[in-house]
Amino acid sequence: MTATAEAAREPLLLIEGLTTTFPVRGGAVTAVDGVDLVVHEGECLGVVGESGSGKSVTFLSVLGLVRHPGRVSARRLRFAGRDLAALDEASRRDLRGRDIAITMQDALTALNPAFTVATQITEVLLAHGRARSRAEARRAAIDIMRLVGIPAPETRIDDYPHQFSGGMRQRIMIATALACRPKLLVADEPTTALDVTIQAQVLDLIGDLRRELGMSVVLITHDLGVVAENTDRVAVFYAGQVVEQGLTREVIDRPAHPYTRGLLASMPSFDDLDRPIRAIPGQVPDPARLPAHCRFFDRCAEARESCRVPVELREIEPGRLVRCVRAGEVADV
Amino acid sequence: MSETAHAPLLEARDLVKRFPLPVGFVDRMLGRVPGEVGAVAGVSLAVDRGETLGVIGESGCGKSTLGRVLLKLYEATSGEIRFDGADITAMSEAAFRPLRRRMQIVFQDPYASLNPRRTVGEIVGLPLRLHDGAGRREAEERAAEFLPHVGLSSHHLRRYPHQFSGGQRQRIGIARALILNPDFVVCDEPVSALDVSIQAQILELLQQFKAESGLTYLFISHDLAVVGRVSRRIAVMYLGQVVEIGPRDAILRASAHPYTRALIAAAPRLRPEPGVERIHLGGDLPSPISPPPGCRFQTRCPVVKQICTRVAPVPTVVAPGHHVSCHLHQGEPA
Repeated sequence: MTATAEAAREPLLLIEGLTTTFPVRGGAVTAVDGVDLVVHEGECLGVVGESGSGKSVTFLSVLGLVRHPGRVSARRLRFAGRDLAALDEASRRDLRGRDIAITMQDALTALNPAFTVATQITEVLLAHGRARSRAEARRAAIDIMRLVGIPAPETRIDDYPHQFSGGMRQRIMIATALACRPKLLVADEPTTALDVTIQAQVLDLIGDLRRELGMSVVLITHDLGVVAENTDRVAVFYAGQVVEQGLTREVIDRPAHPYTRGLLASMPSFDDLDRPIRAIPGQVPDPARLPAHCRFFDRCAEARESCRVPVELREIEPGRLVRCVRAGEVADV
Repeated sequence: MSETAHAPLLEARDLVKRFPLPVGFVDRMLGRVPGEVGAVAGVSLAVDRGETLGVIGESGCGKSTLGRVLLKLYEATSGEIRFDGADITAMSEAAFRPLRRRMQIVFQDPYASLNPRRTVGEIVGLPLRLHDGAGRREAEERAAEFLPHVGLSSHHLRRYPHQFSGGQRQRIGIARALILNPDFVVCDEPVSALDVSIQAQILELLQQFKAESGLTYLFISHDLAVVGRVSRRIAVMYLGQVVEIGPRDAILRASAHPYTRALIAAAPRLRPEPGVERIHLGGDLPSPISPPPGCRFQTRCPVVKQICTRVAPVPTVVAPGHHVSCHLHQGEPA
């Protein structure tokens, strides 16, 4: 087999055994614990979980954006056939923004208020050698602003971030991320701060751009509805671990992990307004004092004594992974 | 049955709330008149005893301001508010005091709405000291008795807000609002800041109080599914005005206003209907400082007509109890 054929079969992003810890007084907080994930070429992967579940830190770790004293380790971390762990900081910086781009939740704080949009988008292009001159970078920046649907980009490019509305700012951040036509866009809660009609615009935009540019997207969100409408596959995070992974449609129609089931049962359903909602009792475990056994144990309605063991993520069907010892047993209840 | 039992618990008529815009030094020297922003621009609605009226709308539509004006936390610029038959619009603070204890609010942000330097006992006991003349000891004792009703326990009494999670803080906020056993509670986005699994806990708690004591809620939220779950009737707000109001199922299943339809179409669904395209609303919310003339929704409306740019629509009856302000609908004025 040729090297290219092999590269074509390898996923665009491969994460194996990713662990990120932050030292705290008298110990360490494990924010991400042994995460395995893949992102295929051209797909949209949903990453869903509640605050503190490790979904954002996972991708900050992949991008090398976790600062000291945080520690990142992984068995394997590969992107487009390259070993990310073996890259030095300079090569990694080169990769960031050019091949993998990230958009943050809050566009107002993620964009620099002191510089015009023109400066911020052209900087990315010039830094990654995607434009040879300022004039060329400016032309490319105007094109990308038009692509994300900003009216009159020729004049608005000289405005400052505060002169745009929330939805438009989000588009500008996406434009900045897309300036170099990355292979992978990590969109971290891209619509959480937005109103529902604007949210729909931004999500449709990301979907259109994905198809047009043929890129892969990781959509990090706490909203299962957003996942259901916009992603091909989904990984559900709980307390620093992936607890369930599979095709989005299947995970939502036939959730296999009790936490996924609990999340779905706790959401009011627009299609069945009178369906009673059932809260998941209790709270997420303290990340500094995680139990060695199943992390959902204390909140799980289906927990048995046999659950008091460390639980691995295992494949129950091709492409369907679940971290629950009773997965086969309780899935059909 | 007496007449007051049929009358709505709370009624607002042509309610307007305008805030002055900040004026710069130069403008003041030049004697320029400060501009105004009309956050609530002529709202009429009634909340029946024991019901939950949901209010939905996007940020800046005036839904939170409406809630605060109804409680007299902001003074109305014009219009009338009646609570339990009494006109409270211009009532003095002293005369309003006995009614104030019957009208409470639960805030969105469980972090900013609790004083970080007060213990849970002090926070939850404060309404008793203000309204019942309870002493420090008595207030704390009664707070301790009340905490189990919101799923906390008396040993939380001496702790401070930062020692609690978001969901627990919201329980503290609910205890503070409900310890006086009010009749009417404005819930202003009470679960928006919380994680999904915790949202359901708080919604359950609010529902449980209502079932036990016949509370009346004005439930403000941008989340259609949440509002649909808890409300009997729903009011939809756009740019300071109620554009549609009616029974829950009429609003969500047979909505008459193009804005309501767009909101519903944009809400993410767990089981999206295949082949159904989202209705796209162009552009952003116009500035409430200078709303468009005629219909306020005209700049984003997918079915805008000539008349919409000139004449503001008035509420029209499309079905019993279902009113809509849109030129698409001809009928009896509401």
